[in-house]
Amino acid sequence: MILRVGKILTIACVLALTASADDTDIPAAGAETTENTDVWAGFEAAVEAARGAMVGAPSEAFSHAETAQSAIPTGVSAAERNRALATAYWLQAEALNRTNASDAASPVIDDALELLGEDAQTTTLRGDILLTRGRIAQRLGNIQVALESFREAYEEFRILGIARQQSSALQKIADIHSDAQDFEQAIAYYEQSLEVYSEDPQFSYVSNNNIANALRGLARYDEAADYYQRALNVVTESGAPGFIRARILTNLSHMQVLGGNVDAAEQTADQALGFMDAGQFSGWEPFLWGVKAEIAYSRGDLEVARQLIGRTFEGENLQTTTMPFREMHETAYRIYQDNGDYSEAVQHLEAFKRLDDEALSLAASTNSALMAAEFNFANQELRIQQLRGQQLQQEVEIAEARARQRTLLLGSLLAGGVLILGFLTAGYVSVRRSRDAIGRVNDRLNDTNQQLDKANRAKSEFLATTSHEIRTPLNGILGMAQVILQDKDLSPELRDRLGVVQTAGKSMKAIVDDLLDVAKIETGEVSVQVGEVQIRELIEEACLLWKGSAEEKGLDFHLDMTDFPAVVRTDEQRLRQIFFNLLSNAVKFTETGRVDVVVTCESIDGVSRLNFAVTDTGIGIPASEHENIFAPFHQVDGAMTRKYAGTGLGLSICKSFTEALDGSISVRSAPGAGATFTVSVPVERIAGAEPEPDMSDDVGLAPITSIAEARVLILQPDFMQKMIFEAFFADETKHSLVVDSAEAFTEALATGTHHFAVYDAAGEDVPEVEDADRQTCLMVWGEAEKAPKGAVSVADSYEAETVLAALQRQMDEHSDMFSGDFSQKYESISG
Amino acid sequence: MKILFVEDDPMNRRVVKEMLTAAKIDMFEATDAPMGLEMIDEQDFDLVLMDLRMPGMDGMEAIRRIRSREDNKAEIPIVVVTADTALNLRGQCLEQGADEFLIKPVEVRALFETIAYTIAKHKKTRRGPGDGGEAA
Repeated sequence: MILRVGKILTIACVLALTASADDTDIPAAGAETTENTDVWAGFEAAVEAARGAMVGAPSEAFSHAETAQSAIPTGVSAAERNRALATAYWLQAEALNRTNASDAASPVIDDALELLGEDAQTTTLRGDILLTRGRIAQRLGNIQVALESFREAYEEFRILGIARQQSSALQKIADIHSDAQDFEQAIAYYEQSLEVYSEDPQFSYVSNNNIANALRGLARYDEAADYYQRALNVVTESGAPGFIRARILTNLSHMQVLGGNVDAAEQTADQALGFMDAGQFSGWEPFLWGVKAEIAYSRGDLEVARQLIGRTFEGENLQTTTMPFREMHETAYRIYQDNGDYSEAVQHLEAFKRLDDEALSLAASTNSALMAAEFNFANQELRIQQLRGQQLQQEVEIAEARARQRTLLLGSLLAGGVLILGFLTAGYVSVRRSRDAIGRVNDRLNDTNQQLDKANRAKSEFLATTSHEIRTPLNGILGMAQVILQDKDLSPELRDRLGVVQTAGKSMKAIVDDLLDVAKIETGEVSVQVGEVQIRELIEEACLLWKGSAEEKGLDFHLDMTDFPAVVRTDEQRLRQIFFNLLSNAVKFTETGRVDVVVTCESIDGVSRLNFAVTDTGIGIPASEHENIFAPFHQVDGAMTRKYAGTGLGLSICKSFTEALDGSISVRSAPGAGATFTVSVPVERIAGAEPEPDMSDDVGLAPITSIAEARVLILQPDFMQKMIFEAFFADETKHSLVVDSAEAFTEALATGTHHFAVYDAAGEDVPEVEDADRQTCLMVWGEAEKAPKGAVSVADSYEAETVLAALQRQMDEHSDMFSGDFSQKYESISG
Repeated sequence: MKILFVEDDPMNRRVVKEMLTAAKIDMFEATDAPMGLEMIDEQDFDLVLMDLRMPGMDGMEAIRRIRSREDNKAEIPIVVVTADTALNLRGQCLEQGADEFLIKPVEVRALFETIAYTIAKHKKTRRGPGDGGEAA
């Protein structure tokens, strides 16, 4: 006798609460549109009307919501319109759900949510839509969607700091756990909901009552009694209607009879009866009669029990009773059986079985949805095989237990005559046993899930810490190797040996990066950042790098990339890692022959896909291994691990990243016949993104009207300053060339393709500039006498910003000359 | 050019110092965050390289303190150099006021490019209208 009437109250009470809570939760929509309130008047009035009618007359509310939709003014911004439309849809969906048309409500609420999709801002409207979506999904038995919706709603309201709605979302989540008989979790969520918000007595007594019900489910009767009392206190203080008290008292009474305290149960039941107000209270009496029947049955007063249980089912069709009657059927079965009314007993047992099956399948589907949602929540893949095995085994046990229960029950129902009593008893006992078994398996399943979660998290944390600790010394090894390699006086032998140190360091770094990527994938931290990518450049660069390694091994390396866009939108870093890993594998596993890379970009039905295929003539992969190679830490043959270094993480990373980009990865291979790995990812092509042809080789100078159009030549011998100049001028002028030697400067100047040329006469490397045949405006820093004839002399520090400022001033002062025919000699303006 | 490196690990300081010296940059060393803050008080630097995990005050806090200064040193370019690869760490650093973010092991090329880019960007934001030297 676990669950029982308490379950009924859970549902009834929560429904009562939901109705009244929603009543106050529907905001005055359109309030944000302050610009022109008049045009919104019609819309707002309709929304207001829909809101008002929602609880009492949902079908009227639906009409008002439709009116609201058509009253959305034209000429408002798209965002305003979307918000208003979403509000109208939301009210329509809520109304439909309340008129039992959840099927119709479902697509409407999804539309509402989609309308807000573009609007990244967190709003109460989004939260309210999510709550409604959750309720609709729950009604349709789509527990996973319901759970996700309530969780998202909770998150929205948490960010917004709206405690009442947070609490409401938490109660809904708790209800789902309670339905799945996951009472511990249910209690935790109800308690959280109380912590978040308990100002409203309704929230408070519902949570307290439901915690008590869950505790009763766990047979923790003393604690349950405590919570029922709290719920009763809240109801008394708040002056809530008597029928609420009657419901809680019925629950308490039932618990008392379960706990064997029949006298107290009797008293409580009578108290409940006293609070019954026929005018206000309908539909609840059967359950109170049911509890009283149970009490009478416990006292051995069969005749009274029989009468009372008869009242419970008065006017009910036993073949179509609903879930709340389930426990009552069980009580009825026992009473009729003891009375010798076998035909009645069979009918009730059948009804009980029908509802019990429903409850079981609800619990099972809720449970698997809960599990799925837990894992979606962390976006984890269950990679820990041992734990996964346990889980499968438990699922099998559930299935077997259910099958056993069915067979026994069916057998008992088929039997006839006097034997029926024995079979009925056996059938009933077996039902109870199976239920207990399922409960135990569920408990273990939950434990396993928690362990999985913990194990995965511990692993990720370990990897992150290890990565930090390895990177620090690697910085010393790689950094110092680079510093020494930059020494121009280094002997070739030493350079070669140091190169080995550097290569070893780099491959160690790659391994650490791989490990970290896997950790991030497993904890669902893979994020995709889409941007404009110079895709042709990226592929050429990756190929160039591996072409070198391939040729060192004596392999031919060929890249085929014809008719391919230069720029697309995708995630550059993920794509780069995918290409690198595939190329690295091809080169690594091929001893002789060639590596061919074929890249294409096809558009089918407006969707462009980038296909990247790498074919090698390496050792190949047997067909039986084609699936496994994409799992982490997998190399086809253990012996190969020794021959071919690597973590075996490359392909699993490729697969995760490809999937993160909505793409696919596949392999075609046979042992000894090489392999072809193909990655296909959708990309966004950008119209007109082809780069402008580089004009830098054109001879002659175009007239200019601003510095932004100028071509500038700069001499900066200092290595670091040169880089700063380059970074600084990169987007200030049309073209800038920074050179680091007088020789390069003179050479560049001679091309006559720069509007300006500048250098520092006080610098370490000063060019000798002929002052004849010059069409470039030459500007020289430092002392004026050091500047050649015809040059503009600038007395200032030689820094990026001062150079630009001087160019700007020169431009301003002689704008006529720069905007005119620039082919004449610059000398004529500088005098 | 003067750069300050705030880093508790002597090996890392040595490596970066060697790299910067090759590019004729004077690198000054602070072995912890308070020392770094003190040196910024006393001297002018073109840029600060900042480690994150240090005993006592961490790099993030040091960045916050620099950015909340009242004088123009509050705007000194700061590049974070860390071995911590936690997701979003880069975003957190930039949010606290760091200009750039480098992960150890640091590559010479990346180090120079980042320093150059950060200083150039700083010069641009500092540059006001009519600022600059005089033409002769």
